[in-house]
Amino acid sequence: MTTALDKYAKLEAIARYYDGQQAAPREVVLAFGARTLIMVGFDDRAVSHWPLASMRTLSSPGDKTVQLVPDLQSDERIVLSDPEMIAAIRKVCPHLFRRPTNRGGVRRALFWGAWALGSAAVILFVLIPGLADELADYVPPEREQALGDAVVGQLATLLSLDGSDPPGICTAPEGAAALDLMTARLSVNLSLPYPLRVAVIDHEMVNAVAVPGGRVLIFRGLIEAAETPEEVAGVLAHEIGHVKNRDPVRGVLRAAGTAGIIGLMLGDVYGASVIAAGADAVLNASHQREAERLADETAYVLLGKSGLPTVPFAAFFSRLEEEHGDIDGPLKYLASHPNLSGRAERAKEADRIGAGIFKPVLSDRSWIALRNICGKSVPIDDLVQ
Amino acid sequence: MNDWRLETAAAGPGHHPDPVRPDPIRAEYVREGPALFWLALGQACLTVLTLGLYRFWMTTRLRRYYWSAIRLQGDPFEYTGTGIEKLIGFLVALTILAVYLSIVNIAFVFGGLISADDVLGLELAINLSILASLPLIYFATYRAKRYIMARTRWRGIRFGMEQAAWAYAGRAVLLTLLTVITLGILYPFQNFRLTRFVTDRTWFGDLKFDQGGRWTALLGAWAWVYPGILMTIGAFVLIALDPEDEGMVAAAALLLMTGYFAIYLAMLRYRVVAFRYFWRHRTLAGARFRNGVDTGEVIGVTLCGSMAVWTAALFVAFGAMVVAAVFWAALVGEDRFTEILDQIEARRTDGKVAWQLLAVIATGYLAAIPVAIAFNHIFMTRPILRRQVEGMQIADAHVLATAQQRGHDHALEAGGFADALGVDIGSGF
Repeated sequence: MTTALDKYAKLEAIARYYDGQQAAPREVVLAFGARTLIMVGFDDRAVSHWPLASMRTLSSPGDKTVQLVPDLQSDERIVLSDPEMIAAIRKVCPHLFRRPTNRGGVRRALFWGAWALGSAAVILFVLIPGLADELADYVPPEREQALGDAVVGQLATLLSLDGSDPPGICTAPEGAAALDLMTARLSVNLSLPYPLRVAVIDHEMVNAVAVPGGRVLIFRGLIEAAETPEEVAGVLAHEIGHVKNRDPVRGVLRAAGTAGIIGLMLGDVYGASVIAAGADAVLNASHQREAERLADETAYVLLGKSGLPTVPFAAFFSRLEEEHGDIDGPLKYLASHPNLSGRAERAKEADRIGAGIFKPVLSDRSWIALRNICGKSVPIDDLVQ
Repeated sequence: MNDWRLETAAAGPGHHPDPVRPDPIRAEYVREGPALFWLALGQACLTVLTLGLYRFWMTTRLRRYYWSAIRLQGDPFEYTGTGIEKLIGFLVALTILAVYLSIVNIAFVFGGLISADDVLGLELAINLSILASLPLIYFATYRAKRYIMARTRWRGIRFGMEQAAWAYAGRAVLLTLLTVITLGILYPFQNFRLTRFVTDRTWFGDLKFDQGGRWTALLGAWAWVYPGILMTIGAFVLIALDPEDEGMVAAAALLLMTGYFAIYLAMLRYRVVAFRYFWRHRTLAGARFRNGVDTGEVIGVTLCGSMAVWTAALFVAFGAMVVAAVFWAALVGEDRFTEILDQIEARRTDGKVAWQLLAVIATGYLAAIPVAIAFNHIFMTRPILRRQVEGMQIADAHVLATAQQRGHDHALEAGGFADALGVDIGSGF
């Protein structure tokens, strides 16, 4: 039987041998034995012999100096630079570059992977929302009000960033009375830790916000875009829903909890911070959409209790969709509000009155007064004091 | 006192100023084996294709490449870490960190909510919560270094670091506080004490490293950051003086950019100077070190390298986006594509078009990542490492041969905390 080994039977080369116990080098002569690599010292004493089958190299293919080990667990080393010997060893050692799959490691990785994914899900969707909801109840109402006042101040600054004057708060007396009437009708039997304070801000944006501390700001543009007082009442009921659910405070706490978690999961891959920020925004937006959906549900209950239909609220959404278009595509996941057509449908479903008769939320006279509430206004700072 | 100088080695072969002592030995950086560019590019592509999961194997593969290129007396270093242990370490660290950080962050903001009167106070609380991860970052830094040391061998003998991550983190937080309080003046003190802490706990087999020197020696190099800082302060003063004057604002902007660049250069220079100083005053059981890495060369490589990396990444990103757009146009037909372009210009894209547009942008981004990584390795990591290795000289190197094997340090967490927190432990890979 001739093997590749016979070809190299007479081949010898000098190499450095390390016994794995000490860093002292020892010059040895390498030669092939029967299925082994034999190391003989310059004193002709055998130093070691390694089975060829288990021999491995720590070097890469193409390296001119190679480091050999008898097996991957061993501390022993040979450093060899003789090209002929290197070529011979590559020929006769079948598994020189093979690394066994670490089956135990793969099993452990799978276990820990499942564990990490599971705990991340629990943290993001149970622990953080739960903690935020729990702690929100412990924020003292007067602190929340103070914070809300500060937010209103910031809002005024934001709205005047384009160089316009900061918008005022509308105070025409008949309009204010109409607004109070609407608020009172919607908030019967509502228990809040602070008074509900609703005001109209003199700005053309079609919007309304609930700030911390029970304050709701309706933008003039929204009242102008509405065709009936019931549409405004629907929006107001939605914002009261946010106040009742303490969403502004819960939102801040949740965002604080989730910030950075996605970044952790992605680690330090190139540009991962961009992806992490994006994913964080998507996550926050999804929390936000959930809050909006719940505020909608609260709004339907409040409207129902006040004997008001929800269909006008639905009609308002449909009209906004027609005028401004809806958000679709990837941006949908970044939007803080559920999409308009879905909301319109749900609002229609929630209606308890249908085509029946209801007592309008405002008389025609009061409705006109509300539409003209911005006939008089005061600086926004007056609201805060 | 050290009784040999760098100059003696440079005096040329055959020149023996001290017949008793042999000349110091030089470390070598050897370029052989697979081409680094293609290795890094392939590994980075796998990382992108696996959504980052492969990065543990990529890091391991590249460390093995670099370690084996470093030779001392002809014997290569070896890196024995594995990708799977890094992955497991990361997963364990992730679970712990996610729980810790989410609770701490909520607690800080809750504290802000119940105590702050204004938005500023709340923002302060949110920013303070970043401090909660500071001890963890230092902890992770030490652990990651320890893992790397535990997986490094030379002549089959392991390196190792003692278990002292919490002690390190505690000292590091206090020293950072001191640096902040003294407006950065005491940074060299922090740098020196932390480096000494690590060096004094690092072993080669049973031989211990020892860090000598004085922190005040680094003050001179550190002082160079202050001209830049003064320039940036000056820029803000200029703007505050007359925010309306356009000429003044332009001058301030110029001053600000110059200031930032000056700070960047000064920090780069400080790092090289400190690197040399630390090695000069390091000993390993009687063996002494010198590192002659050139400051100008490192700065030059860093500046040119980062330009090369950015140029290549932008070029590839743009090219990939063009290819993707051509493919898109071919798919939908010319007329429809013109329509789509008009839509994009008018910022009125419908859902489907927006998804396709996102896909084109993502193609460019994803194509650029592997190229940026590969260029970073050939234009920054390797040239700098090569200079650092070739600059290394060791006197009385014969004591290295007396090192006895040390036990295996499992270091199970395998740098996972550092990976999750994105801590750069300064090795560049």
